[in-house]
Amino acid sequence: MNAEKVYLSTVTPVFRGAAYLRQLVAELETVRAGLAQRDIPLELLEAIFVSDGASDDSDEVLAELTAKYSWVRVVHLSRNFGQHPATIGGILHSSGDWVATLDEDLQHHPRFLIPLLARAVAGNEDVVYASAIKVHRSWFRNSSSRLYKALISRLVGNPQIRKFNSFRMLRGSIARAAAAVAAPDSYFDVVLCWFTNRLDALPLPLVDIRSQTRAPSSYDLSSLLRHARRMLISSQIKPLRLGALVGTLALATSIVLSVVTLVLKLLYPERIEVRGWTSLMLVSAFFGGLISVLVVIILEYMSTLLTQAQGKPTFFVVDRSKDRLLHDLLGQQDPG
Amino acid sequence: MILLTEAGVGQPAKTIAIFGAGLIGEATARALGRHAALCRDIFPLDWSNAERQERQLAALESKLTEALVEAANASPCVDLLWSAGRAGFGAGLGETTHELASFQAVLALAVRLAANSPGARIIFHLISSAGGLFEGQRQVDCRAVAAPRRPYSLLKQRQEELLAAAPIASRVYRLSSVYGFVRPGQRIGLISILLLNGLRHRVTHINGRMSTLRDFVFAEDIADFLARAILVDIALAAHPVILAHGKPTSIWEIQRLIESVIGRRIYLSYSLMPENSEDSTFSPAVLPSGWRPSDLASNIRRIYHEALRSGAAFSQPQR
Repeated sequence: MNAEKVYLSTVTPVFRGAAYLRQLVAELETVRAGLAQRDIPLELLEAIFVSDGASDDSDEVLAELTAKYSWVRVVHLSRNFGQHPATIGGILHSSGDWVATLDEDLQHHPRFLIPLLARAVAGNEDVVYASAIKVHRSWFRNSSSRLYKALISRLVGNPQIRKFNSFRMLRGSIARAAAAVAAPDSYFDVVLCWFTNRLDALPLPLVDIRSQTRAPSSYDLSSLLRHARRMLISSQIKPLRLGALVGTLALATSIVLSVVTLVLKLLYPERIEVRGWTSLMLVSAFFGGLISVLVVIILEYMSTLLTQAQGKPTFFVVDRSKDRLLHDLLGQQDPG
Repeated sequence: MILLTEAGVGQPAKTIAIFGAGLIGEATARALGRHAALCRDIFPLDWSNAERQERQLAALESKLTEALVEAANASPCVDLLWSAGRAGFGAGLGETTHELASFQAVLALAVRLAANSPGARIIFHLISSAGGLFEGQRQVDCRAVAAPRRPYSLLKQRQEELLAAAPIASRVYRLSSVYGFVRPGQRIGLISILLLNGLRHRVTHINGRMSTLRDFVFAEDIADFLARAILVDIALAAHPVILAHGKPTSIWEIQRLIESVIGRRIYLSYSLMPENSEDSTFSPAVLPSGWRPSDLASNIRRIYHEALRSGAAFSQPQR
């Protein structure tokens, strides 16, 4: 193998994909053959399928595909862990310079792999997400997903969350580093943000074949809710700091007003019409503010310990020098 | 050198000579002992003095010949396992030349044994290096071409060539990056070094990058496979065989695994101009049937507990 070559791996979690896998691999083969024909230093090295406790005939289909294509690899998880852990497992088995994650049902069509990679190389990015022009036919699902991402993005102060999508092109070293530290409850894309802020999104016309054919989705409402929960708890929440600010204000106000009240009491006692009420309010504001500040300090400590335990790195080194091999060759790819 | 003979009522039918009682040799001797009732002898072999080594090999040859003659009616078999590796991955030409001379002497012994005992099965097992032969290659499969880049890799390639040309039955096992239990005075591999230095709050210098990918195999898995290959004579589809895990692992991932096992941060420093930073990974399709590599995370825990239990964590290992 030529050392001066860029290798691409794909990772696909499989749960209920028997009906789509043959076509998916055929499309990947088309991409692979196309790259070989173009004689550019880019090779689709491997397509890793992670059988996430598949509930249909996916394992049999994958065995058949592995026998047919030497570049198809299968990783069997011991039970159904969910889409994120399956993706993480697949990434940890990859060795490409770039790793693309795509769903089993052709919603994430392999023909978009090269445009995603081209965008990443052109923009010197580490992660490029597909931004669906229109994904699901369900208005409710599209809107709720967008709304939730916008809400969480605002809540945790991470604007990148709006770009998150399970169809992504990742720099291999960063993908594997993030996958290595991701805990069971971590949201993989939030962990990716610990390693890079070079994230971009490429609008693509994705089509949800399952919803068109009314086939059941691999991941139902409960798994989508688990997704949402995971995203929230993986992020540090900004309102905590808002709580600290409110507490500090209450504390400072109570101290200032106490001084004012004391001066009034000593110099102009006749101006105090209701006795006891002011003192009560000031004591409440003082201790309320103090407790709020202390609680936020404790929560900040816990948050720091949690992210440390989850493996948030102090630094991470990345080598982007191989991008130059593809920069001019891929050029501007038409996503359509 | 370890000499193992099959214990029994009759004459010994199987004799195994292990050259190199290091990480793999010692583990293989233990694995053979688990699989069969064998008598174990330690045979002196001097690696630094050629003359003394010649005398010791002559003594060994006469002992093996004697065993073959005694068991002439019991289909005797002698397996010679070359797992010696004084010259490590970063060895210079001088060290590898010295090691090649020792290898040639042992190979010549095996050839003479085979020639003098036509009724006996003499098999030479060579531990080679997949990491060295395929350095810098990814997803190495059956189509991959060996491309050694350093004296150590050239040594392994030359050993394979000499063995292939010798008129003797042989088997070659190409290993990826090996790690194993900590034994005082032995080379133990990168993972155990990181573990020990982590326990001692010492810095480990890495001649690679955080993202460098390697394929790590556990010495005990290799030993178990070798023991079955020697005792049961299992059929191997390809020759030579690659014993790798099939899952690439980055230095960063190793660091995280070790930190989670020992419960503290480990200190690493990296070369600015790393000489050994290219990724080397292997396709699972190239692995032989019957080869069952075990889980890295579990093995790191085993090494950690074994090092603490035996006190090896506090002794001085070689890298």
